[in-house]
Amino acid sequence: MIAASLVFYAWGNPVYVILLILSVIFNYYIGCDPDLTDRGSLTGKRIFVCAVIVNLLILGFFKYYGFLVSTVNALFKTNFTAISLPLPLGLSFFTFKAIAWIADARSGKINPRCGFLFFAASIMMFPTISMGPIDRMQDIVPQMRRPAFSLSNIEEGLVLFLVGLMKKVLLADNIAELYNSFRALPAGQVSVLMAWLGMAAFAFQLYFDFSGYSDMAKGIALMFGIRAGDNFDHPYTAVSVTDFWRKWHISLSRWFRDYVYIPLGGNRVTVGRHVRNILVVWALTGLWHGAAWTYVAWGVYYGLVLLLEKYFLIKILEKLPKPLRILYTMFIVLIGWVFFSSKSFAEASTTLLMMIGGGSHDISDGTALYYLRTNLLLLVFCVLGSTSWPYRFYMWTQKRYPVIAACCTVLLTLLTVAFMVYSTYQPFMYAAF
Amino acid sequence: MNKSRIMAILSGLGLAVFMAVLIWSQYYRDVPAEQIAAVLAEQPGISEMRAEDASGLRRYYSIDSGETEGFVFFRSNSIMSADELLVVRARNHEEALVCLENAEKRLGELSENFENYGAEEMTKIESAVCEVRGKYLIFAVSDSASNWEKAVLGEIKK
Repeated sequence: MIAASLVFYAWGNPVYVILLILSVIFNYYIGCDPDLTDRGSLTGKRIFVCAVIVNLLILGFFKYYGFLVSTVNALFKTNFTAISLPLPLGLSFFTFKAIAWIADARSGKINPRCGFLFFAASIMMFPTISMGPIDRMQDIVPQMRRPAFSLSNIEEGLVLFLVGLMKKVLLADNIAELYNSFRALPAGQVSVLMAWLGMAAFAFQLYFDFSGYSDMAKGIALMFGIRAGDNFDHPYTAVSVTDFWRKWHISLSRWFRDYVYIPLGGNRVTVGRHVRNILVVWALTGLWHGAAWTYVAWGVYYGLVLLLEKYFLIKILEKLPKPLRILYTMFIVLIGWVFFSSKSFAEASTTLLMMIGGGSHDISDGTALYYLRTNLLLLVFCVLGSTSWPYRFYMWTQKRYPVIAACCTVLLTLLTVAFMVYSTYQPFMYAAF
Repeated sequence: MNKSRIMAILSGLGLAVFMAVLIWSQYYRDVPAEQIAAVLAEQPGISEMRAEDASGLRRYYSIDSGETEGFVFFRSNSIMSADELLVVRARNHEEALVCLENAEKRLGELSENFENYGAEEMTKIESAVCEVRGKYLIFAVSDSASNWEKAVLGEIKK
């Protein structure tokens, strides 16, 4: 696993293999330092703080240095030179795994002396290193010691991999065309319907792209006998924004809950401090996604919505029928994706203006109707693919008509391969984070 | 001091050295475009090309020369050749990245123009140099592209 992971990692930028190896050595041995677990001693505290700072410095250096310099330049009219280094693959993901490892070692939740090679294999595990899930080391290391190689796991892993590939190739890459068409239109020629269609396309693209990758990663890991954690649970069927964040990028939400929100006091504090905790966690969640103020705004937006739901809206929402609650959630989520997908606040505000029909934007026009008509079937597949129905239907068919289920799998796989051959390469969106 | 701490300190130092080397490798001198032009003029293939002015820069790259600190732009005299060289000294790294986007669009245009009938030109386009170093954009399509790149880097690299 270590050799395969190193080859995989070196494929993009071989120089960063050195960074990965040094980071793994640093985190393993600092986790094993006997003084780290001594919660009463100042030395233990210093070692812990030092380990977290080193990890954050590495992350900050590669991911946020340019952002910091450009912010300083913009604020103070200075002209500091930002160095442009490519982001090491999966840096945000393996750094977070390492911090969690050290925090758990300090709190005594894990025994860090699990064997360097097992730790290295777990943190470097190539299926999950680039885009997660951000699994807890205590869940992976024991499996790495005794991988559950079996035919049933290989079969299950293969199916998961194929499902992920289908999500990416058939749904994400195709619906991306609709979003790209929306973005290619001159701002003055976008109707309200087109703006909503475009943002819905982005929402589906992001979901199927990322959840597709997560399924593929889980599938490959399972074929090696390792069961990685879940990252998605049909988030577009969520009945509130709170529920949405229980279903979207589960491993990241859990990380922020366990290692930022709870240490800050969680919700067992005064209302003022709870508001602060939520806003800090969500600003950091936004910043984790990218070095840009639009991501921070996206995070803070969710923080505010979650606070609104907790203190005011949840009681009203509970009285509404489920379809209305899903519509409300999707409305909030789509507005959120505007910030997430925009390179600047100007672009975000232009898109929001289009969506509410501000300025001279028509409600609908021929272009929007054309795109709706030509993408209707794909949109229906995307909506269905966002629910658990296809999986349930597949399981039902497999139980009653296994031959038909097998034929469907083969046909869909062939269709996916055909799309892969005839379409251009579309990189995974979350690889940039 | 225990063995774990020694290993952690050593690997931490290793990380610091690694990052220092990376930073050092990414710093570039700030030299005028004229100095780069003088070096490039001695390179093979340049004398057979036509020097373009600000209007050419705007036409082919949508870059306003007034918003740069200078540029060097050569295009082939023949419409059957994709040879092109552009070095832009932007005002800062962020603006160089914006120029890079325009250069990538230009590369796409060249690819469309020569696709299907210019196999040799397509080979040059596919191995084109299109990158940002510090505040400089380097764009080169030619058999000599890597030599031109080396010449530019020789001037701007510390």
